[in-house]
Amino acid sequence: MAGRKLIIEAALHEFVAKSTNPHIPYGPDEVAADTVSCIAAGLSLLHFHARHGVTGAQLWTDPEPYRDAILAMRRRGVSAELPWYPTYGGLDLASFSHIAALAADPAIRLAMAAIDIGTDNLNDFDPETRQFIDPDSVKTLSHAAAKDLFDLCRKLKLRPYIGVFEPGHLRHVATYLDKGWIEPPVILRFFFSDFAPFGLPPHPECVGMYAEMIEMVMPDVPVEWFVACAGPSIWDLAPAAIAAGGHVRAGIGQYHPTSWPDRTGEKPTNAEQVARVARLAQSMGREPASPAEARAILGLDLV
Amino acid sequence: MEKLIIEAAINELISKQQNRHVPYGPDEVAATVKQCVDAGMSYLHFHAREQIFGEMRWNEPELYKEGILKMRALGVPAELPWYPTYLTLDRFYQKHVVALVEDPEVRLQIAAIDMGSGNINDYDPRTKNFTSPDQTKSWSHNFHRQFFQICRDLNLRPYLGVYEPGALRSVAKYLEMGWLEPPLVMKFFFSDAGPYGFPPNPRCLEMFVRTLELVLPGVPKIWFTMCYGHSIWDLVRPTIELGGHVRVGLGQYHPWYWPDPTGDEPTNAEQVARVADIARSLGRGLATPAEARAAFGLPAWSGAAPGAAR
Repeated sequence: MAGRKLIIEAALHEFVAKSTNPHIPYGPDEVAADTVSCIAAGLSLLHFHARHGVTGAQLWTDPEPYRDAILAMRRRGVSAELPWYPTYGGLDLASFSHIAALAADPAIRLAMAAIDIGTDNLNDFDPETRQFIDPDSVKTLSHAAAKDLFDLCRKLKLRPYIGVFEPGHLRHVATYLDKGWIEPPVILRFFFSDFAPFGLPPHPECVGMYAEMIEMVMPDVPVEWFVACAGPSIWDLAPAAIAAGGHVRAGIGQYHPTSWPDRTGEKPTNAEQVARVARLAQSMGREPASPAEARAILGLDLV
Repeated sequence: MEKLIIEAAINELISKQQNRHVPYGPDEVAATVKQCVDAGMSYLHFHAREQIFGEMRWNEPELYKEGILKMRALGVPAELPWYPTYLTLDRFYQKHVVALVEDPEVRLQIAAIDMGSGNINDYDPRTKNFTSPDQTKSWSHNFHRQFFQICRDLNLRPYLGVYEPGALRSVAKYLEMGWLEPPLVMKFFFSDAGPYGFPPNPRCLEMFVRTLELVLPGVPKIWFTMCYGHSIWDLVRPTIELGGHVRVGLGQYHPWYWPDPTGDEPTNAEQVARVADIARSLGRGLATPAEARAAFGLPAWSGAAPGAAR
């Protein structure tokens, strides 16, 4: 896999509070400044949430904070080609209103949407209290509901970035291709977690298992895949992903627990995490992709 | 290596139109079970079904009891471990389980739970349609806790069905919280008919087993491989070689929602015998029903003598 360009993604903040890590960016100006630092370190795919500049509250369906952040980072020299995607708070079409607005906005032209497929128990488990968080809740996305989201992506000319939590979800994806609900290239993210007992365990061998299963269930389909991990085990998984031809998502948004205090006291910056992935990749013979290269690898101009 | 336990799921939801050898009522179940035990089966799963049309009788204990007593009358050992089915886990639908546990002639000791949440829909490759695409299987952690409490109250050993490796990680937490106790008895689901879980091939079986060791090292456990569809025959040999146990049976062999295009119509006993032959060729002995019972951590049978209960 040496020679293949590596896309380094960062999830800048997600649900993490500044009280957990003071380097968490909140509003558009902080997001823009943080993104500039990350780009300098090798970032080529960005994920952030619209959050209130003071309180950090999630502003789920408001397109303005996204727009403000994107325009602010461009003014600071970030390439307009940088691929990025927002979050959303529900799986109904109303929860996607900001995504539709950002896709239609000629100054922004959002080109990707994350779709976390499947149904699963994704609850965090606090190792100190030995309790599940919210143990009655189940993350639910039926096949029919996934189709609605893929239809919306097609209508808005968005490339789905498909989140996979279990091996079975890869088989879902192969079936969705068979049905014509999605088209190649297929962009996947494999979720691992230190905090919630779902999926394959966050062990480097398991990255290889996922890579093997792609070949089994989608032979000959162009696939680009990322490894993401909630928690510090990302550093065990990143080398395996780089070696197997995958890409890596880092970022302090996924690094800290959000259901209990981080007891490690570790407080990295996003740019430090991106730089660490970049150094690792270079030591393994893979150069970080530029934002324009990432855009081409992800097929964003083809949708 | 410990002796191989061969389980058979003899009917499930399969109709006689799909395979004329599928047993429906208690007499047919008893006759099938006798043949399977003679072929090497030591663990049984069946659904109570009405004799004429094969209708499912989800929560009637009588049909189960009749099947059990009739198979004993044919010489099947009373030690044979077995478990029924159920539609849901609410009190109404558990009533047959409670009755079968409390009945001194039956004394049911195992309850299966298919763990976790997922989209467990079949996908017909010819029509390219999902069965019930709006439907999800959504069983929260608390739902599992309630089930395990029922098992503890009724002195039932849970038989843990695992579709995805995440369920193994959940089991590790359930053990940590004391919701479950070892030995764990687990069943890995594979499927040709539904696109969920690990793909049904020998390499993925190895992945499952490796994941089991990564997640539950040192925990006393036994595991079975099952597969909806004909790929079970790709999985039997590696399962036996890796120290697992095997579930076969017509109930899982044919598609549930469309005709089996192969026309293959084996009997349950033929499937059991085929597994037994593979085990012998690999030098692995077969467990008796009493040995299977011991492997599950169940107490030795001390109920009515075989055949005594009419």
